[in-house]
Amino acid sequence: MNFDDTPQEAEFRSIARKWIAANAPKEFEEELSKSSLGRIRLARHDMVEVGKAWQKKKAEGGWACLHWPKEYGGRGATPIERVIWQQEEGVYGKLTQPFQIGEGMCGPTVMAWGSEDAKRRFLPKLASGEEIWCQLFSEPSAGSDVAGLRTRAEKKGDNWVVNGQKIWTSGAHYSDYGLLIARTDPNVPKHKGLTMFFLDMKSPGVEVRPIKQANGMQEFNEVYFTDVVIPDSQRLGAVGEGWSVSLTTLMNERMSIGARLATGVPEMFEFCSGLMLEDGLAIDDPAVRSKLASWAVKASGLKYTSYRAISALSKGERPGPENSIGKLVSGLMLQDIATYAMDLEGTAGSLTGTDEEQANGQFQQMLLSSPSMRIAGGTDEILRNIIAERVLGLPGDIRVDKDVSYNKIPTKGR
Amino acid sequence: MGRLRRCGALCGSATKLRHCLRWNFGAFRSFTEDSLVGMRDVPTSLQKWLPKIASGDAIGTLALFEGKGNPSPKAVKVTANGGVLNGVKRPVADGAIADFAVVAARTGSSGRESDISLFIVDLKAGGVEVKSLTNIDLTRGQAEIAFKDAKAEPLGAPGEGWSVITQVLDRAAVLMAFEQVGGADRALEMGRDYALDRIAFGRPIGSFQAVKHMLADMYVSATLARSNCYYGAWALSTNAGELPEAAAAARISATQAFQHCAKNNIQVHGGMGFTWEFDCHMYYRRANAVALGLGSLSYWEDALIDRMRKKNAA
Repeated sequence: MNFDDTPQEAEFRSIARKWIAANAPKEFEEELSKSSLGRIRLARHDMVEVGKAWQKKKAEGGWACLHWPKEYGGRGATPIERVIWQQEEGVYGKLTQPFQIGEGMCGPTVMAWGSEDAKRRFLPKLASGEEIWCQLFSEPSAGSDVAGLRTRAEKKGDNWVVNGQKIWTSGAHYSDYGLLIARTDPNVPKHKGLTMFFLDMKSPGVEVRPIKQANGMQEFNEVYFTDVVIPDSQRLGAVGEGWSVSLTTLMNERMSIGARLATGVPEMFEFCSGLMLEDGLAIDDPAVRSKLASWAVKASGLKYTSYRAISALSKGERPGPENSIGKLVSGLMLQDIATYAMDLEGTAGSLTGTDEEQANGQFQQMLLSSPSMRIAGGTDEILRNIIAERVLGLPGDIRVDKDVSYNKIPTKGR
Repeated sequence: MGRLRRCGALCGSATKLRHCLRWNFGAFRSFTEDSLVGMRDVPTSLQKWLPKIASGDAIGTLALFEGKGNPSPKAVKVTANGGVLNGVKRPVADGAIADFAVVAARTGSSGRESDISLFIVDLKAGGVEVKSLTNIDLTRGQAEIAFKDAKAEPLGAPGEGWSVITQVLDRAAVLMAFEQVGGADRALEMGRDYALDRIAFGRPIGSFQAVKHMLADMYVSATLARSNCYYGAWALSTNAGELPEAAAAARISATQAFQHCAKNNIQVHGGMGFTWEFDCHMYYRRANAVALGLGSLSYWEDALIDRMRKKNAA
């Protein structure tokens, strides 16, 4: 493994750096660098609009979705070049948040399963940020057990008619298209009766309702479908093949979430370097140092693990289940770091102001937001199952719903 | 052997217990030699030992510690005066089977690092008394070495001992970290195999989430450690400026992973894991002994934070 740029990589880096210096929206640099952990605060501007403008500029310059083929709006860049770009994009990368689900999950699924017409029509606009995509998988009764979903799609002539409800849909309120998995046959075992579609989020019968989250914000939504019509040409994969198609999405989800994962470690290091305790700086306290060091080696371990994955990717290997560790490690770490940072602030740690002493309120925000990191995109428990079963080869749990037709599976607890 | 290949060899042999036993002083010897051989001008005091090291006729060790505590110039009390050493070193890894030792001794009293110099002592010569010490790791010996006017030849320039020791410890940390990752992997593998074979409640215990999740967590810590180690190996093999930070990160990560995996491997095995016959305790012992061999976890945590601060300030 080599951690230095090759001459070609160094040249690519220098071209990227020059382009960013000439084109990035510098007026937002300071606000972006103060926004942490996926939480972007722009005082006087709409983050989605600013993000779209940057994404469009990048697309025009050939820097959007740069690992995608050119004909679909990418640059045909190597995985390593993509990483170099992300390093150079730096704080401006935070503006890509509204596009990450599209770029990381929906796009790759359309690329793998869509018709040539669909790819040419939808992927370039997804890449340029002109059209935003969301992912419609989870339901109120189907979270970790997503294959137990209830939303129905019924064939009527050349169309499908969809009824049901999705939930936890990030960005549904500003999305143009959605990737939807629905049940097309309730009479077969649950994994076999699913089909994947994509749809226009402006279709009649689609209703998006924001969810007020535990942290007080509204990023997720409920999405209701009432007699929504989807043309059969917007089906991805065969009827009944939806589960296989969804695995493409979920595998890419893990890779995508892993790629720009916040760990909280740089923020915590900076905070401890500046925080004055009774006996001196926090960073000089042995207990603080010990915790910081343990977190720092987890963060560096994750970083070099992702380098290893990239190096495997660049040799043509597909992202494997071992990439599940990124979110598993960083989710809990964010929560622990937030708790400890507030502990160091003493009683005042409970305050949510944004004055200087409170480190911009970022750890209070982190505390309240971090529970979702351990749930969204596969709970900690599901990720551990994936590692245990698919990496270590341990047997699956005994399943009572395996060979039972979907409509015979119990739906009530007590 | 190149340093990268040596990292791989250390990692690989630790995964096999038999090799692990046979090769028990390999890592330690490897790093002392690595550092000594790396010196630009080989001191005359070392010249007679080098061919013997290469042929396997002589075993060397590093005599640094003097009782409780972590590596520190202040803790060095053994004195060097007029070509002889006086004082006691303990514990010294492989001290009872070693033929010579590199000894850190005090040559000044200014209270600075420059008070420490290095010497080579023939352990079979007069004025040296070696006593074996018992320790938790039954497969890697520790000893006490007492010097009473023992003849010593200087190694390197006077007053530069501590800066050499610091570099030796960093290099050793990377090499030992590979041994630790190998041990962690093997403990994980043992736990996984047992979870597949052992039936309870009518099914393999590996199908229970409580067991499965414990093994998944072991995999996570072993993976993080391995990735940190690769970075450490890169820094070591290229003599990169990042070596001090990378070595500390590899050391901490690998120490934690090996301890975690060895501990949980016993838990997965249940009562069988606590028997003398099963190998689980050997890994548990090694994990906890090697965690202290180059200074404890807290010593390396301290070092990592200092080094990160230095980098951030630069």
